[in-house]
Amino acid sequence: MSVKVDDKLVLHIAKLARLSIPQDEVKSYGEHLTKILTHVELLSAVPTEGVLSLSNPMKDILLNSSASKDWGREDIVKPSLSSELILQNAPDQQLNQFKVEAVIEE
Amino acid sequence: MKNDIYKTHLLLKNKKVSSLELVTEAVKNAKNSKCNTFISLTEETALIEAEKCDKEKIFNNPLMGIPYTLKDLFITEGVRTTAGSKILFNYNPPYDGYVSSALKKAGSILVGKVSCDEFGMGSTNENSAFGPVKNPLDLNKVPGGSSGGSSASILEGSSFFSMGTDTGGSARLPANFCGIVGFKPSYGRVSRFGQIAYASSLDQASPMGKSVLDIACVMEHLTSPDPKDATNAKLPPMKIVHDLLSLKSGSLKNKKIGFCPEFISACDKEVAASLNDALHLFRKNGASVVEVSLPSVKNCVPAYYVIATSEASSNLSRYDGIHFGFRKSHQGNLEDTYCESRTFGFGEEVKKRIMLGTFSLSSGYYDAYYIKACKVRRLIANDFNEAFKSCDVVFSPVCATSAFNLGAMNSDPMQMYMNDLYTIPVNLAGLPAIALPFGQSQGMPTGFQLIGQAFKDEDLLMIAGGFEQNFSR
Repeated sequence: MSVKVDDKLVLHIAKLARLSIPQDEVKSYGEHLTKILTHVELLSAVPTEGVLSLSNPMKDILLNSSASKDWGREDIVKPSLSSELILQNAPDQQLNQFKVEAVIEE
Repeated sequence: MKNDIYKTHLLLKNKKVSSLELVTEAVKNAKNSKCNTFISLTEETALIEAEKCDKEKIFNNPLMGIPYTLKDLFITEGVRTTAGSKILFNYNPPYDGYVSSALKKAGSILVGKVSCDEFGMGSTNENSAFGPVKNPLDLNKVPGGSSGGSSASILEGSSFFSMGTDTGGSARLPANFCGIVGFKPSYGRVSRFGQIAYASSLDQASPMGKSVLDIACVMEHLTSPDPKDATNAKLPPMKIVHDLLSLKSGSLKNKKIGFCPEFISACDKEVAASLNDALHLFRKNGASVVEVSLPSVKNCVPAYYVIATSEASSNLSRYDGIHFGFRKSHQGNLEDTYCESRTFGFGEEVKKRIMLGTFSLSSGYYDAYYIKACKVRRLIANDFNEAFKSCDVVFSPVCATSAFNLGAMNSDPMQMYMNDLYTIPVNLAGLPAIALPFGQSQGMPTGFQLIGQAFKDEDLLMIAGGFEQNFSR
């Protein structure tokens, strides 16, 4: 599981995360991630065969408690915030809509 | 501000003090903060609300007319909410989140929004875009994080209580470093609607105050079922204040307190001595102290950092420079707008955590990192289930040391993350835990935490209250 995060991998992850890492910081990001991942490798030594993964404690907790097991809600249309209110925080807007950079090239 | 909430409530009821007097003093103390505690003050509305409260004279619950602060991760209608980040520096929410609206309904009065590590990511409150918060007890030391502003506001007398959040110890650690009480409820006990997300399966709104009774007064107003959070437990609101007030001496008798000896021996000498003194006090008051084993807990730090950052990388993808928050104007394409806005808007620690989480979830690494961490998480939860077969609560350190100096942890990220060793397991397993101050180390406060069973928050608070009763600070 040993991973050394080289420049290429840093740039790949940054692309996925929609971050642009300046050229002079790529190396230090790689070193930082390598350091953390070296520590994370401790996990590979833990025997987990047959262990169910736990991604959120809620379902498990509810099964063993007196709380209602019904964690859904009915699918009913309710009033929501107006578009004017939502748009008051938009960095740019036009015609009561979010305005973005052109997505279609000429 | 020296009294606790309940005593102050009685003073308000008997007209010995007015809400306006309390709020005026709180605002004054907030303005005189030496610790960079506040991001936004709500002086004007606070004073109007206090006057209204005094005029109507309906002090029908302990929070009515009481000044408090909110960590700036809680959404507040019409009050700037930044998450301690540049990317939200001008975000003015059009709605109230659950916590803000519940406390408004109770009649408590918001003095301001306090600083925190950006998006709750940090243990020292040095990762705020608004500068580090200092520890009011020693300005060269950190207050702990990420809810450092919450602790500082209580010590500086600008609030009776503060709402923090706890994802890996973010309320318990600053409580421990500042000598106050911090309570992380069971996962799902308090709605997360309107709490800016860091890691959704771990985040929990967490009250901080000067006593267990203060915490109880707040919890009674925060535990209504909320359909707006799908992970909120549909339990009736907590009723605990009356029980705590009528707590008789000897309440700890026959309670079983579990502890791991190796957790204590790994702490600083003075911290370990305080922990042993606390255990002795439990025994002296009739509790039995039993050894328990939590073998998987040693793996909690790597498991936590994989899970929390994975969730963060997903949660923070909403900051795109389009819908709200900061946009870096760009003449390029949409993709560039995303990248530039996020790169400029997020701080260093946030970017590092997004990178780690993106890596853990990426094709080729997902099974070995994210899924593996979730399996280890199960083992940690199983350890606690096993331990609770022989005890009512688990006693544990909060941190191996007392508050450290500002800047002391900047060089080694792993050393920084390891500080969360004792607080993280609780979040991974979804359990309630309360940090109580007890003793000193290096001239600063230290203490311990009690960890309870899921949704037995009331039982945990009663044991904590029983301890507090036998040890008046």
